[in-house]
Amino acid sequence: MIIDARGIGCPKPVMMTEEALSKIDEGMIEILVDNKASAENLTRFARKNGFYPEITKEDTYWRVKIAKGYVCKVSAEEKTEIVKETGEDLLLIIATDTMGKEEGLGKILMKAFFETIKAYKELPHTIFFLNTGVKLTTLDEEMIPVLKEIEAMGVEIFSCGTCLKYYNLESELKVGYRGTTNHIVEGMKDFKNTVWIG
Amino acid sequence: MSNLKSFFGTRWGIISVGAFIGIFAPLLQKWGNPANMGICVACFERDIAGALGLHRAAIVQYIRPEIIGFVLGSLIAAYASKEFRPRVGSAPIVRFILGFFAMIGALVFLGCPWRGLLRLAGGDGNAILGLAGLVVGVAVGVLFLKNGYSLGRNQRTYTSVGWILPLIMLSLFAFLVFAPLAGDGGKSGPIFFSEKGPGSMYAPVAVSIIIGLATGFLAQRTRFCLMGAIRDIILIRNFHLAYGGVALLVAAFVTNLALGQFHAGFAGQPVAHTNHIWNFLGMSLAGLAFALAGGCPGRQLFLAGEGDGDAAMFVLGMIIGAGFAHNFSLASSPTGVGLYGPHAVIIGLLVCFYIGITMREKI
Repeated sequence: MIIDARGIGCPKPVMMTEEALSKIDEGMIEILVDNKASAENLTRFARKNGFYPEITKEDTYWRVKIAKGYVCKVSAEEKTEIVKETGEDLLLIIATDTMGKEEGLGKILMKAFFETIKAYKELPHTIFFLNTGVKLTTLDEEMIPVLKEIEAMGVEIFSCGTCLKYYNLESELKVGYRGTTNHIVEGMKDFKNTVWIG
Repeated sequence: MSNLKSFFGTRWGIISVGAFIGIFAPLLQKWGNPANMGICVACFERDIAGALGLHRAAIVQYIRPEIIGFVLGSLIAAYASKEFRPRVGSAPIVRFILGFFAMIGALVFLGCPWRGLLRLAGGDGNAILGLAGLVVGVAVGVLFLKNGYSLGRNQRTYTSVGWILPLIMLSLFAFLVFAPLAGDGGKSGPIFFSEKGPGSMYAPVAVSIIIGLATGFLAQRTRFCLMGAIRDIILIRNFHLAYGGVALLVAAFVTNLALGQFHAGFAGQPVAHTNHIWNFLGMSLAGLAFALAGGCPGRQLFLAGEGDGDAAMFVLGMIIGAGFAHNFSLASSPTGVGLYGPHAVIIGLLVCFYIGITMREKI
């Protein structure tokens, strides 16, 4: 779906986009605007609402694509199956503070990832943060509350001690406990599945 | 440069612009501008209307260099960042009328949104009523927006069209410089300069124009707008622009304290009256007109500077509205509201409702 908002003043483009997104559960909307401020307003609006925006500059206007949805949904039956297979037996290792190479985007994705885990209650047994990943449990104001909620749901959270020391963040740990590489080595043996991000 | 570019889009960018205005407005007052009126877009456009003889209220006539600076500063910023976009055609006559009644509402209160904050920062309690009215007016505007109100699309146009308001501003600057040499130096025209009252109080031209240019430049980059600040909170729960307004208020308050310009109270405040009802309703009319037109008076000047011919119509509507406001006894004065001010506010509200209700498209 394409919304042509060229020549239309603020705040109409955002309102038109909001209206269009509210009518779909999943999909992509393209909005054409003729000034950068509107394009930036749209991306700000999209990020704030958990959608994924992308701006392309055309010759005399901007094209903003906003994706809504695209979350993997599974039926209740499959879900219990998966929980049996993974759920309790999953060790999640986060070795980065950004998901993928593009740093700005990576940080958004990382937050979205944990919020999705939380929302769908697809919880691992243990999450282990290492390397720049420890910044998420110490400095990242936006991540810490999300992680605290996940911890409150019964997930064990550890941050690598050597890494905390390396970044001089030992006194800054806001969620979970200090861990050692033993957690990883033993974890790989004990847990059925290990997922490594970073 | 790209770092600087992105800085203007951040929260600290908008805060720094609000703080800039908040610091320099009280300083302009110290350097000569009227009390609690270091910068006031509505009052200053009214002074310009007076200087051109569009009204003959002898105490409020002066060509305010700040206004000229706002437009030209924005023009420079728009060219520097390749954002100058000449455009017109989104209901120009409606913009003119909205500007006209916005000015009448503002002159019943005695200030634009910026001055509302500056008055509050100077201790003027009457500003609270005005600002409350502003919020209510913008909220009503948001209701219209939610129901499909739109001024319609503009169109790209010739570069020369975008230059018309900036050229008018350059002409005003020429009048400012040459007026004392023409006629009898401002007593009986063609350009009138007040000999007493607020119009006779002004900072040195060079200082005013430089601060005006800097403000115009920064505000164009950051889209600083006090109407937008309120609208975005109500409409999309976005506080970005509001940080600029808060910064303006805090910076002006601190600067006023430091300069000994803070005097709390309701009665006897400079260029203000204590009629709570019409302070509130005057600013409600102004807020509604700003919301329907898409920007506070300052923002309209900055938009006009970056080539928006429709915003320029709003500006001209305000200047002409100021002429009517004084000729028809609509504008308030420190002694109270004008004889027909209340009537005009009610007519203005009806006109805004007429526009808001009838100009709807299905979205």
